[in-house]
Amino acid sequence: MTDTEEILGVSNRHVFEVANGSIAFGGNQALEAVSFAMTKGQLLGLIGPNGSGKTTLLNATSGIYPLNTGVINFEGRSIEKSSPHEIARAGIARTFQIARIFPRMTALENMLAPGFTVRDPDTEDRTTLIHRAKEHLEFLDIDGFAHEQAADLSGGQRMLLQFARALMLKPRLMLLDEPFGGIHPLLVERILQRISDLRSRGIDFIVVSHDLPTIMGLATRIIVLANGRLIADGTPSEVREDPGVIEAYLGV
Amino acid sequence: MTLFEKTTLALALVGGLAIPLFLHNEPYFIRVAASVLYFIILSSSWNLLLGYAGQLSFAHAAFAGIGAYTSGLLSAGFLGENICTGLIENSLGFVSDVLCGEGYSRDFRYGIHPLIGVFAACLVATGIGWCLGRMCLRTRGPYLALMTLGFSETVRLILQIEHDYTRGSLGLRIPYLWTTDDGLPNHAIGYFIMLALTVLTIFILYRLVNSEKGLYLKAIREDEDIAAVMGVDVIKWKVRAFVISSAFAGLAGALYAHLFVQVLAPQMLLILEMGLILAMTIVGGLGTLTGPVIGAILLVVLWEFMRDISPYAHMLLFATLVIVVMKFFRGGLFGLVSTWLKERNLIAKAPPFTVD
Ligand SMILES: Nc1ncnc2c1ncn2[C@@H]1O[C@H](COP(=O)(O)OP(=O)(O)OP(=O)(O)O)[C@@H](O)[C@H]1O
Ligand SMILES: [Mg+2]
Repeated sequence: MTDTEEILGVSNRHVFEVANGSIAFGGNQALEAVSFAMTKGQLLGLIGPNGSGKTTLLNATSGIYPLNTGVINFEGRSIEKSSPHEIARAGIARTFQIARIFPRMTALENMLAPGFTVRDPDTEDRTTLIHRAKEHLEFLDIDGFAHEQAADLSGGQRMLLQFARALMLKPRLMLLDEPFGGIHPLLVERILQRISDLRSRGIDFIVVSHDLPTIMGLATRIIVLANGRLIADGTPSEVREDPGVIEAYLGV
Repeated sequence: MTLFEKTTLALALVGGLAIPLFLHNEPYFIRVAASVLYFIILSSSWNLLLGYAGQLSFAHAAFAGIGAYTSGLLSAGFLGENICTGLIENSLGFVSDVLCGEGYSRDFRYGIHPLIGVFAACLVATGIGWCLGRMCLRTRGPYLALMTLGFSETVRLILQIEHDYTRGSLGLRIPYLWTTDDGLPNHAIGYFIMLALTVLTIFILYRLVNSEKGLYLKAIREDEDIAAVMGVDVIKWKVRAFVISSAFAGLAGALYAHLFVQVLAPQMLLILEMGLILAMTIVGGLGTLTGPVIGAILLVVLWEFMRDISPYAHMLLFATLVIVVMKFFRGGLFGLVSTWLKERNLIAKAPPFTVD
C-alpha cells in the first residue's frame, strides 16, 4: 500500500470498497463512516432494520446520492464523484427495492436502452443485442411481455424485468435491493440459479434482503447496518451469533 | 413505426403533393396548405421534446421567431445592410456578390441573400438552443417550462423594443426567396419547398426515434434517475433533443418567413403561437410521429373556418380540445384511432424493435 492508500484505508486488492462513507439528509445521518471492502468472488449480504441506510448505501454507490465524505472504489478507481451513467458503464448495475421500470416502453425496449449504452459496435449489432435481451427475458419467464408496455406488468414481473434489465449493462458488480420481494418461490429459485450462474462467470453481488434465511444461505459474507452505522461484518454464522446484531436486528 | 402509421404518413404525403395540382389557381388555399406544413414541422419537432424526451419547453415559437428574425435582419435590415456595405467598401466584390443580394431585389439592395440568411437562421437557432439547453436542462420538473417561458417573452420584448433595428410592432419587411416574373412571391414553389422540409423533418425524426437515441429519450421521459443508472447520459441527450428541435424551428421559421410572410412582427413569438403548437401536438397525439401531423392539419383547417367569428375564437376551441384530450384520451386523436383499430384487430401491433 502507498501512503495515501494507507491514510484512506483503500487499496486495489479489493474489487469494491467503501471507506468512511457518510451521508446526511438534513439532520438525519443516514450513513455514518461506513467502511468495508469486498474481494472478488464474494457475495455480500447487506442487512439491517428498516431505515438503517441499506438503500442509501446502494444509492451512493450508483451515484444517485453522492457521499458527503468518504471514498468508494471500484476495481481500483474511485467512483464516488462519478455520475450515475459513468458508474453504470464502468460495470455496476442495480435493481430497486420498489421496482422502477420504464412504464410506457415495452419490456424489450426497457432492456435495450441500457443494452445500447454499453454496446461495443465491433462485436455486437442490433440483432445480437435483441437476442441477448430476449434470452434474459425468457430465462425469467417474462418473454411473453417483450412487446407489451411495461406498465402492464404485475409487481413481481416488474421485479424480474428490472433484474433482467440490469444484466443488459454487462455488469461486473450487481447491487440488488430486495430482489425477492413479491416474487413466486419458483421464480426466486430461478433468480438464485441465475445469480449462481453469474457468480461462476465472475460477477460479484451485493444483495440487500429482509429475507434472512435466504440471504444467510446465499451470502458468503454479511454486513449489518443499524442507524447508518456498520455494526457487524463476517460470515453468516458469525453474524448470527453477534450479540450486537441480535440486539439491533435479529432480536426484535 | 407501425404499418398503420406508415400508411397514414404516406397518404398525407400523397395528399400534400397533390394539393398544388388542384389548387394552383387559388393562392388562398396554397397559403393555408403551406401554413399547415409550417405547423407540422413545428409541432413534430416540439413533440420530440415533450412526447419523446418528456421535456416541456415553451420556447419553440420563440425559436421559430429567432430563425425568422435572424434571416430577416440579415437579408432586409440594418444588420445585413451593414455587413454588405462593409464588404462592398472594402472591395471584396467577389464575396459580396456571393453573400449579398444586390440586384436580387430592388427593395433590398444591401442585404444578405435570403438563402444564406435561412442557413444562418438555422445556425443561430442551433447555437441559442444549445446555450439555453445547457442552462435549463440541468433542472427538472416545472423549471424548464418556466425558464423557457421567460426566455421567449424576453426575446419577443427585445424584438419589439429594439425598434430601430427590427421596426418593432410595425413589422420588418423582408425579401421573398422565390418570386414570379412580376416580382410577386411564387407560392407554388414555396409550397413545395415547405413540403420538402416537412418530409425531411419527419424522416430525420423517424430515424432518430427508432434508433437507440429514441430509446434514450423515452427512458429519460419515463424516469431520469433510472435512465442515468442504466447508463444514459441524461443531460447530454436532453440537450441534443433540445438543439435538434430548436434547429428545426429556426429553419422552418426562416424559410416560411421568406416564402409566405412578407412582414415579420414580434407577435409570432407570442405565447399564443406556442399555444397553437402545443394544441396541435397534444390533440393529434403526443409521442407519435403521426399525431402532430394530424393535429396540425385538423387545427389549421378549423382555425380557417373560425376566422370570421372572432380573432381568438379558435384559441377557445383549441384550449377546450386540449383539456378534453388530456382528461379522456392522452394518446390524442391518433392514439384513439389506433387503439380502436387494434382492438378490432384491423391492424397488427408492430413494435419497432423486432428481429425479422
Ligand atoms: N432521499 C432522501 N431524503 C431524505 N431522507 C432520506 C432519503 N433517502 C433515505 N433517507 C433517510 O435515510 C435513512 C435510511 O434510509 P434507507 O432507505 O437507506 O433505509 P433502508 O435500510 O433501505 O430501509 P428499508 O429496509 O426500509 O428499505 C432513513 O432514515 C430515511 O428516512
Ligand atoms: Mg431500502
